[in-house]
Amino acid sequence: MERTAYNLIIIGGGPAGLSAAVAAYDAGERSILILERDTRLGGILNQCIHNGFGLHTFQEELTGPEYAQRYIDKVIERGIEYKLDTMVMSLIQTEDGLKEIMAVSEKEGLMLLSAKAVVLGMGCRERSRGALNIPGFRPAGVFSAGTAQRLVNIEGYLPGRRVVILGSGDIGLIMARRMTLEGAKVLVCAELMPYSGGLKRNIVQCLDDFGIPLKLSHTVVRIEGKERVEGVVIAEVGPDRKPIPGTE
Amino acid sequence: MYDVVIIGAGITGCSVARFLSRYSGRFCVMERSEDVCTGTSKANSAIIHAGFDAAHGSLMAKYNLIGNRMYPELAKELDFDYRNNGSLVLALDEDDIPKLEALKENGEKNGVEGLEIIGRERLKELEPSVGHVPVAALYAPTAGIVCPFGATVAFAENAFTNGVEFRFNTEVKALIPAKDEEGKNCWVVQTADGSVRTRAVVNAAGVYADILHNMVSANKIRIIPRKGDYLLLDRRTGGYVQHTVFQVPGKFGKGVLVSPTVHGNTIVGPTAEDIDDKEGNDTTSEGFDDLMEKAGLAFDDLPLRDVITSFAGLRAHEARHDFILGEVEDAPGFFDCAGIESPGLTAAPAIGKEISDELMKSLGLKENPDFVGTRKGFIDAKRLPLDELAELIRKRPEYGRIVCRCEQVSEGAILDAIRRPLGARSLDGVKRRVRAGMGRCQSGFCSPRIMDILAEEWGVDVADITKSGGHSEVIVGLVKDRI
Repeated sequence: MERTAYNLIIIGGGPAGLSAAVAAYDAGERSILILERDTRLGGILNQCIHNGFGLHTFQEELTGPEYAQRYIDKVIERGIEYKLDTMVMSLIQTEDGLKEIMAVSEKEGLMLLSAKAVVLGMGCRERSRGALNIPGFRPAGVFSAGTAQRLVNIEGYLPGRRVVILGSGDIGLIMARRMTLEGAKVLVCAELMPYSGGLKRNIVQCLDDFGIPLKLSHTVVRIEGKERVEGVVIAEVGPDRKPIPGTE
Repeated sequence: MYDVVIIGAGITGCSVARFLSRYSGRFCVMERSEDVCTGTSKANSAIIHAGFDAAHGSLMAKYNLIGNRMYPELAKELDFDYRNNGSLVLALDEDDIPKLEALKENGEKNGVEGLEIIGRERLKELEPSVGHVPVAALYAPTAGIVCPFGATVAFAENAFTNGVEFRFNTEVKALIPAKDEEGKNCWVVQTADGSVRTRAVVNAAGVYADILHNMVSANKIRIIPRKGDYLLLDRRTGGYVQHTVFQVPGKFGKGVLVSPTVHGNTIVGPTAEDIDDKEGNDTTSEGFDDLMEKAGLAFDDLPLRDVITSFAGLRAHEARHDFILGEVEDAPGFFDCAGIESPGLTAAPAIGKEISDELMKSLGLKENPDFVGTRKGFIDAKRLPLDELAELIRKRPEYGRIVCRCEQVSEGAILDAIRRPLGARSLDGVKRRVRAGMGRCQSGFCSPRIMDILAEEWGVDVADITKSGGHSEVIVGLVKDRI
């Protein structure tokens, strides 16, 4: 199979990949390709429809998609090549010192690409309920914040009507507000640590303003419901972050 | 009038159905849930036991051995994932060595070939990851690993192709003895959707097998669900263990094992806890702690940070701890496959063949002249040579659209999982057939897309798409629908 050669291939068309592409172009590089698995550029920002982006970079308050669009425009203005709906299957170092990428798309089929340098801008995966070792049944209705956010903000689906949020990082806080705005009742936001990892602004605007209690040093110790979630058991944790018996 | 109604579409019921389809007749599998392989068969160690553990003279020993020998060929004929990786039973101190010798002796009486007690040096050669504690091991080269979903789906699809009917979401409520037009014994099988008549019934109902058995027989049995928690590790741990590594059995069965899976994950489990609830497959933090502690006896540096999911399965444990197989004495035409706990997965093909042959003799079934004993499995794009993969995507571009990024599963594969015989109707149905959602993110990224594909293929609203049938709907409605 023929390899198509680029100097720089960027895997991931989210904010990191886009700004890396722009920076490389502005530094003089012209042989650049961005590979994006989704149907559009912008990455996770497309589902982050809340505002608060761009305060530092643009001195304006933008939503996620608006912020992403600024970078998408820069990429398009510069004529940087990108492929959508394209998934990288493998990345290897070849004997000639190049990086070889195998990618696939519905439109172009299998493609073999080579690059002198590769930038990985692939974001991350959230840790699943299983990775957190939360015991109990395994019913429908347990979502990572990112999956819930996608269902709500991109698909327009409501993942639940009575909601408990585990984790008070910014995305947990923002989903507490989002679920409330979409018609769900958020019962509590539980946080394992004795402090929230989220911004003070988000605690005020996402929890306090909606009367959602934040329980610090608390975690979910059990999930109830065999088919769909019917309840969760929350308990206080000690300094060792282990649940304290009797506090359920 | 059916010739045979098989109750339960787990590995045992589907195996009976597959082997029964070698004969001509009207056969039906009735399953209370929405898919095959949703009970005991879906949550177990996924191993093909060599057969040294089951007590000599027991049915478990007999069918374990036959089943173990059937799997390699069957996996080729029906195209499911099986690997002969061998197993090791570790002695954790010198006092355990006589137990290894006893196991070896029992295994040899059972007919297990190639059993060997090996010292620490050889053990480290065979299994370099093993920790500092184990002193010796029993090596069983004939043990293997299998995909239990793949095997069950393969049996079911092949049975279906050979004319066996499947009815899902069909729970059997009652079994009533009756007479047919010629005055011969038959059974009326009552379900929520009405009754059917059949000349014979096969009870392959897993943890519910006692309820069915006790409907028809005065000789009561009792199936006690024995719960086992498991941890499943990310595929990046693939290669950490080569063999299925047991520890010398204690009073609760085989103890904690660490094994590779056929798909390159590492599985750790099971615990053993007898419970009352036949649906009580909830995991516990005590169970997780127990597994981690026991696995730590065998391995010093098992990468337990790479747990991607945990689950619990229920073994169908019968008080006498043996399989209950064959026609029930005081219920002619009613055939038990009860008490099918470990080594049930291994024994399934042997049980299927045996019970179907008993049915053939009892009912006077003739050979099925149209029987096709082979089946082509799902396309696993990851294993195709590059040129074949490129050709596949040219012919079917949907194979170029990756939906599940962790396991690199394409839309084409998902469509196949839905469109094939007895196709998937739920997220778990898709997951068990083609592994979409089985990886590191546990369906976080791909589930919204798979829900849409399922809804489109089955022509239903996406709000009706479930995780695993029943009322396990993934979403509850649309945003702002009640504001």
